[in-house]
Amino acid sequence: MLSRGLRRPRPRPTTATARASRAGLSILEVLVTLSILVVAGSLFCQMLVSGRRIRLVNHEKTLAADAARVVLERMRNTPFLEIYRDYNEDPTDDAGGNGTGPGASFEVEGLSPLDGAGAVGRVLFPTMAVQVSSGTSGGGGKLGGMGGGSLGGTTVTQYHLREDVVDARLGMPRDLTGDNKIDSGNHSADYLLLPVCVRLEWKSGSGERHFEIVTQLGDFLLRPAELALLEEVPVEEAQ
Amino acid sequence: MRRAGFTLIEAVIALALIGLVVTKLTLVMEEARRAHQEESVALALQDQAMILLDKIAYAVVGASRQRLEPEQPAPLSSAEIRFQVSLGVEDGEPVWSDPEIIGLAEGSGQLYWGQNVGAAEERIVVWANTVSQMLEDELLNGADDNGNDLADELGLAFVVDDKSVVIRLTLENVREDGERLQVTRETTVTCRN
Repeated sequence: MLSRGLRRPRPRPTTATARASRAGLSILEVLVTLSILVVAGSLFCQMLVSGRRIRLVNHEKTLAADAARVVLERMRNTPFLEIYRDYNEDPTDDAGGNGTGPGASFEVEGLSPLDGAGAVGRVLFPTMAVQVSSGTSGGGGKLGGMGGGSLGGTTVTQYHLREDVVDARLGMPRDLTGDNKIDSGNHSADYLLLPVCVRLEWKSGSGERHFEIVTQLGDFLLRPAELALLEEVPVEEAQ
Repeated sequence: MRRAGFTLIEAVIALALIGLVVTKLTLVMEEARRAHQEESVALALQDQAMILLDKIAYAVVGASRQRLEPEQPAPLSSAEIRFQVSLGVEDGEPVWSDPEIIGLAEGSGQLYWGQNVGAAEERIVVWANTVSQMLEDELLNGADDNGNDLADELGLAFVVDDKSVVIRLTLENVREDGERLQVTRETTVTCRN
């Protein structure tokens, strides 16, 4: 009885217009509508996903830039002639003893290193790896105790700071010692200018990304001898 | 024979299904709205923390190491730093600015910058009101709870290391339900003078 009561009598079509209004949607219309809805929905989702990805990329880039800046600030807090020794790839030449310097690589919280890479960040100098065997001094200008040296007749790798390294990014080759010459010696102990590149490479949700800062650190403090020259007084008096 | 409409059972089932779908949709949307709001607040806090650290670093970078205090080597830290920046050279002598201070007002979460504090021409500007009382995961118990080599450091902590100053900052936002959202940032700046 109840179900009968809910039923309504099917009206008979009287005109062609009335028939059309009750005909419903064709399969083609339904498919077109669904396609439009799917396309609109996927575009909206894509927009949300790309917005989130951009935010993530920006955040990672900010972390990388901040980490690079902090490394450079720490370098500036190091005595100038110890920067290369503390931040190069060779732990044996660190100013405070073997492995006491921060080294060439560093981690950044919030960034994942690339597959196969040990760390996210690296400090790069115009260096040249030189194989040094037992009894070899390893080039001029080296400070005492640095570079590994000979170990009972074995060959070790030393990283020499060179003026003749070709690296356009670091502005090399160039005179690093202020003697108006570009030579092939090791200037890790007598440089006045130190080109530095802090490079970060990390794995992001949108692929591999990198960030780098290239700068030059310089020791521009005038020493007593140089001050004396400027003031045209004898060096002994100035000292 | 074709049916002309819905039975009551059909209508009830349809309404129940619609109600279920609407309820689920509302829950999902509420969750999404909440997550979006949390993310927005976290991003805003991170942005604010970075801006504040940049402002502090920019202020301290022109200071002289000799005019920087207090010297607090780790594990000690200070919630304020006093300094003077170089304005130039006159007659061969450096000219220093009026004494400046950046610090955390106790109990209020206010990070302020001040000049000539205590003098007649005192200037104080509040840079932020959202600084946490303690640094993230740190408790006032004499120990290093968050593993950063500092004990009992406040929401703004300065550690002077030779010419460098390590600045740590935790900002927090308390939600309506009482949950705290904290963001911690750290930077290092080296005095140039």
